[in-house]
Amino acid sequence: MEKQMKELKEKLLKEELADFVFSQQMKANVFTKIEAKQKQKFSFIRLSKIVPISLSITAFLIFSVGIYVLITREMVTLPDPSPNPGQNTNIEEDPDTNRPKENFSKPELVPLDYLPEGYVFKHKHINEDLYENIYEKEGNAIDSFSYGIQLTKPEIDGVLEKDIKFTVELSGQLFKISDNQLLLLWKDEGVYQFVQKTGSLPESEFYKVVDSILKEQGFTTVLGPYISELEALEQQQAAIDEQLAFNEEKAIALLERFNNTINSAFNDATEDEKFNTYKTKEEFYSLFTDFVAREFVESTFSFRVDEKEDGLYVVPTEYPPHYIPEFPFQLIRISETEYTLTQYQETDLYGQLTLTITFKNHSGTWMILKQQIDEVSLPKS
Amino acid sequence: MHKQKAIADLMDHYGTAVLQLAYSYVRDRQTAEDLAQEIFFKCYQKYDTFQGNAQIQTWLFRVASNHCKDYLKSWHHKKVFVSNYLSSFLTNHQSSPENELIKSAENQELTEALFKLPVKYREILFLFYFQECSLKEISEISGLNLNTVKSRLSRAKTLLKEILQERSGEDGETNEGVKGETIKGRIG
Repeated sequence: MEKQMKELKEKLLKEELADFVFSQQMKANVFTKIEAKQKQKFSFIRLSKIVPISLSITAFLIFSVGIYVLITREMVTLPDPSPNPGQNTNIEEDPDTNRPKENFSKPELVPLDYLPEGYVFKHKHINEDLYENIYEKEGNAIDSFSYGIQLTKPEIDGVLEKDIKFTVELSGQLFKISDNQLLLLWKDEGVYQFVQKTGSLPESEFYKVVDSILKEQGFTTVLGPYISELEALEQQQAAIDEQLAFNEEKAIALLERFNNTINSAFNDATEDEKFNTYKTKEEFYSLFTDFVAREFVESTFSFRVDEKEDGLYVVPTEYPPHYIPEFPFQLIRISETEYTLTQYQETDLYGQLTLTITFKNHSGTWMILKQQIDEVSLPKS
Repeated sequence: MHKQKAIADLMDHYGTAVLQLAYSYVRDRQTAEDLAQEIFFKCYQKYDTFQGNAQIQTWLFRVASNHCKDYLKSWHHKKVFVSNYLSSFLTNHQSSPENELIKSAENQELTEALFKLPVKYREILFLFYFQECSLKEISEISGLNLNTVKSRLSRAKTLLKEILQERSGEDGETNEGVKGETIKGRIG
């Protein structure tokens, strides 16, 4: 091999690199560039005073024109003091008794004043003494709820969970029929009324429907605080689910943040390779440690930055292999709190390699845990 | 003025070496010429950071190596790579039979194999065999530790052998079959 390499050198010099020398013209080009840079530097000093003033004037002009356009096109709207036409604000209540208003003579399937988002009225179901309005989520019949009245007590195939107080005098009973089915039953004006839900309708929305029916029937309900409490719990749960959930979007966001942080960190260095902002390795690492495991940060950058007495310096060397958006990848779930992303890359700098990046959920935060590089034995021909 | 004189001396002494080094990364004369000029301009800008305790050649090659690698990472390179690759492919395939005969087949294989290596291996081979840098100098130029340089040199040679073996294994097939079909296809 040694002999072959020597022969190769001679061959290259005789053939591909024959007469390939750094000419006087090239040398002259370099000096032209140097002189141009020196002139540019001089004019930049003058420009550096003019540019901030010009920018300020431009910003002021843009702001003024924007305000003028907004006003002339009447895009500025003021809050409308009149009530929302969709809202029922004319409920006549008897505050002393919390009783239904006087003109409510008999129970009826009142039109819903509150309809959860995405749900629509589907049909009316009548069976002997049962009258029921069915509502479904648009395009998804599995998620539904119904509001019904029945003269006789309905037979409920479920477990009584608890009593729910609607008003000072009126209560309902909550039955759990299955994991995703709830039914709330109450008796008023001699008939049984119920609201039943199947599927993903949140409990808070379920009670908002009940609340709107009772209000439409003239009651002043006490369900408000309970609904607020449920909403708060649901939001908490959603936040926990969101923290635990991991997908391609989150993985890419983390990797792009990693790449962008590397770029902006190294751009901080001046031409003499000294960082302007970061004085120690610790300061440099802290750019990453809220989303990348400390061990990985240290193993990646400890030899790429050099801490000296007068500050922190870049050690000029190649970038670590990293996620490249142009290549396809595969995200695999290892466990609820661990995922891996695998990407096959082929670049001029590193040849062919497979990058495996591990993500870990640490106390509710997804982080880049580590990166493994497996080189493919042969470059592709 | 002192700085300009120093850069002029650098260009006189190392101009061609830097040009060849740049070529080893890009294998394109025009690009290598542009890169070499940019490298010396960069040296002018960074000259104040040169510390006398390092060898000037090591420092220069280090700037050159990083500049070429930056170029390979750049969008410009990615954009022009395809067109250059195609033109080089066409040139190779349009060369006359006489020229093909003149070329030493064995050496040509080795050249092609060298340029097929990923840059991280190719640069070590080039610095070691062509610029005759020591392993320690390569370590300083590339910013890699000495053991990494040693293992990359060894791996580069192994890869080179593998490519050569693979290519010689393909030769019969290529000459009689695959290549023939491709050329026929093109003519047809």
